[in-house]
Amino acid sequence: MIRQIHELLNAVDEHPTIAAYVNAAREVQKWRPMLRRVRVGWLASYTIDAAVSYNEVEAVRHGFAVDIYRGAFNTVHQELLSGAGHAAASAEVVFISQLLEDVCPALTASYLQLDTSDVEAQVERVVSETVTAIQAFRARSEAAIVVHNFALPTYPALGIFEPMASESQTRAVRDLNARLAQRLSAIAGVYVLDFDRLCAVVGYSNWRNDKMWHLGRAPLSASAMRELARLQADFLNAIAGTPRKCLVLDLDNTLWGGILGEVGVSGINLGQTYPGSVYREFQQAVLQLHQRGVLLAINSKNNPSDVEQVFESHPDMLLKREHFVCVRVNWQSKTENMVAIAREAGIGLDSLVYFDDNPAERALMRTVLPEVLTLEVPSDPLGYAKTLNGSRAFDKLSFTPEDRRRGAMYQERAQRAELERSSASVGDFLEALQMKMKITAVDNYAFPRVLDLIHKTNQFNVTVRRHSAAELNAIVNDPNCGVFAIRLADRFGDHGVVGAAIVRHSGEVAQIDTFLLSCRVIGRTAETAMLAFIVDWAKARGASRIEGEFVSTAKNAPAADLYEHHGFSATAAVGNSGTCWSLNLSDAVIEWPYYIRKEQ
Amino acid sequence: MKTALEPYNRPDRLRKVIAEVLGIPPEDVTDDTSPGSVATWDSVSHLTVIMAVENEFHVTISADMALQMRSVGDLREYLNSQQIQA
Repeated sequence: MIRQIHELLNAVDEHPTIAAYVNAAREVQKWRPMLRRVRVGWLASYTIDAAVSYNEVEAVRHGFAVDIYRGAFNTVHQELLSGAGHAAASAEVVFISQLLEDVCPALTASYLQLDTSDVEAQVERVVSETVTAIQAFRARSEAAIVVHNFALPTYPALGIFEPMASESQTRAVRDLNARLAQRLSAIAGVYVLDFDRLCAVVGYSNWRNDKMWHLGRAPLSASAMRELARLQADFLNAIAGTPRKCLVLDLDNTLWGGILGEVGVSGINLGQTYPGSVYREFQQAVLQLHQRGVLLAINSKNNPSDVEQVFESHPDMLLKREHFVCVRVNWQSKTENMVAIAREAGIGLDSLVYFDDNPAERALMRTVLPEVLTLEVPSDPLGYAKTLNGSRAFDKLSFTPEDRRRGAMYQERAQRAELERSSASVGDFLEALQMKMKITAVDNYAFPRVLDLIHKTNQFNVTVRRHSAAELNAIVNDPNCGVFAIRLADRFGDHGVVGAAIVRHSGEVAQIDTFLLSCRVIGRTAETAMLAFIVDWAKARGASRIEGEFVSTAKNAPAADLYEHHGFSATAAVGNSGTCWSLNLSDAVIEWPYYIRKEQ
Repeated sequence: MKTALEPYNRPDRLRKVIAEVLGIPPEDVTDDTSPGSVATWDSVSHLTVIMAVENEFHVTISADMALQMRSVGDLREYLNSQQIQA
C-alpha cells in the first residue's frame, strides 16, 4: 500500500472521530486508481449516510476502493425483488442491514402481548420473508450477499428474570438468528454478519444512538459505525481479496520473554505465572489459528541450537517444532528469510502475515516487502493475543475438513520429502507413495473446499477464473457442465480435495473452464489422471474434441506446459497472455498414470 | 510562538470539524456558516455535524437543541456555555 494511504489510515486511527472518517472518506477518493474497485450494494432499513463514510475508509485498509450503491431508505425488500440490471443486482457484494424494530415491531415493542404461537409465527414470518426475498435476488444476481442478523434486546422484556424465563424475548431473538443462519446457509454465496455480536462488543447500551434514531432513523453510534465498517471490510476481503495463509513469527520477546541468547533456555519468560503466562497465552492464540488451518513459520535472529533446545526441553512451549512448516533461525536479514519462507511453503509473499515485537524489523519489512501483511504489534506483550485475534487477518467464510487437517498434512509432507530423498528415482518415489485418487462430481460437501481452491490456487491453475459462490453454484447445476473434485491420498495420509476441474460440453466440444491443482501435489502425475478422466467424460457425452485455454499470470508458470505435454495442439492466441489448445478425441489417448490407483 | 502548554490550534477546532464533515475549506467556515450558505449542509448531514461536534468536544447536545442549531455561531455559543473554548 502506498505510503500516503498508510499515513491517512494512521491519522484516522489516532483520532477516530466522525469528522476524521468523513474527511478521510473524501481523501481516499484520490487514491482510487491505485486500489481494487469493488461494487458494493448496501440495503438498510435505516439511515446509513454517515456509516457509508466509515465503510469507504475501512475498505481501503484491505486495498479496496468501494463504489457503494445505497438503496433508498427502508426499501430492502423492494430492492431485493426489483428487476435485473438494477444497481444492487450488479454489485459484487451486497450488505443487508435490518433492525428488528423495523421488520417485526411485535417482537420488540409488544413482546409480552404475544403468546407462544404468536412468537413462533412472527419469528417464522421474518425468516421466511427474508429468505424468500434473498432467493429471488440470488436468482438474478451473482453478488455475494451478507445478511446482518438481529441484536438481542438491550433492555429485555422481563428484566432480570429474562435468563430464567422459558419463553423470553432474548430466546426468541436467538432462535430467529439461528433459524435465519441455517436457512441462509443453504443458499450459495449468502453469509451472515453477526450484528448481535458487534452490539455486544460495542456494548448493548452503547451501540445505539437514541437521538439520531429519533431525529433521523440513523441508529448507529460512532463506535458501532466504526466496528461495523471493520467487519464489513473483513467480509469484502474474504469475498474479493486474497486470503492470507501463513503466520510468520519472531521468537525473542514474541513467543517468549527475554533474549534467548543472553538468558538461556531456563531464563526465558514462558510459564504459568506472570510474565511468562502472557507469552503462553499468546502461543495458545497462535495454536488456535494453526488448528483453523493457518500455516506457521519462524523468522528469527538466533542460534539454531538454542532454539532447538527450547523446542526439545521447555515444558511450557505449547508450540512444537512440528507445528511449523518452515523454521528460519539464523543471522540473515529477516526480509531474505521471508522470501525463503514463501518459497519453502510454496505460497506467495502476499499470503504471509508477519508478527514481530521489534519496530525496526517491522518497518524494514513494510518497506522491502509491502506484499507481506506486517501487523502493528503493541509494546506491551499483554496486547499480543488481542492484536493477533483482532486483526482477523486469516478470516474466511468457510471451515473445511482440509483446513482442520492442514497442520497434519504439512507434517506428512516432511515424511514424503524424506521418502523422496531416499528414493533412487522419481519413478521409485511415486511408486512408493502408493497414491489413490478419487474424482467425483462436486456435491454439497466438496463445494466449499472447491470454492476455496478456486479462490486460492495461484500456481497450477490454467485460467485462474475466480468464480463466485453463486457462479459456481449455477455451474454445478448446469446439466451441460461437469464440475469435479479430485481427492488424493497416499501412504502417509489423506490430502483431501486437492484439485478441481470445470468442463462445459456443447455439441462437438468439451471446453475446460477451470483446471487446478493444489501446489502440495504438483509433480505427482495427478494432472494426467485428471485429463484422462476428462477425456473419458467428454467421450461418454459424445464430444469430438477437448479445448482448453492457458491464461498466463505472474504465478501460474507450473501449469504452462499442461496441454502441450498431453498432446494438445495450440490453435490460437487469446489476448496478450492466453493460448487456446485443442485435443482431437478420435485419435488421442491419455493414459491413466501408472503410479495412481483409481478409486470409484 | 506557541508553548507546549497552549493547546494546539484550539480556537479552530470547531471550524475544522465543520469543514471536514461538509467537505469545504476551513477558511470558508465562519460563525455565519449555516445550512442556507453551504450546499452540502442538508438535513442528513446536519445530524452528522451534530454527532461530529459531540464526538470532538465530548459534549451532549439534546435533540431539541440539535434541531434549533442553525449556524456555526449557534454551535460555538453552545460549546462556550459548556465552558468549552471552541
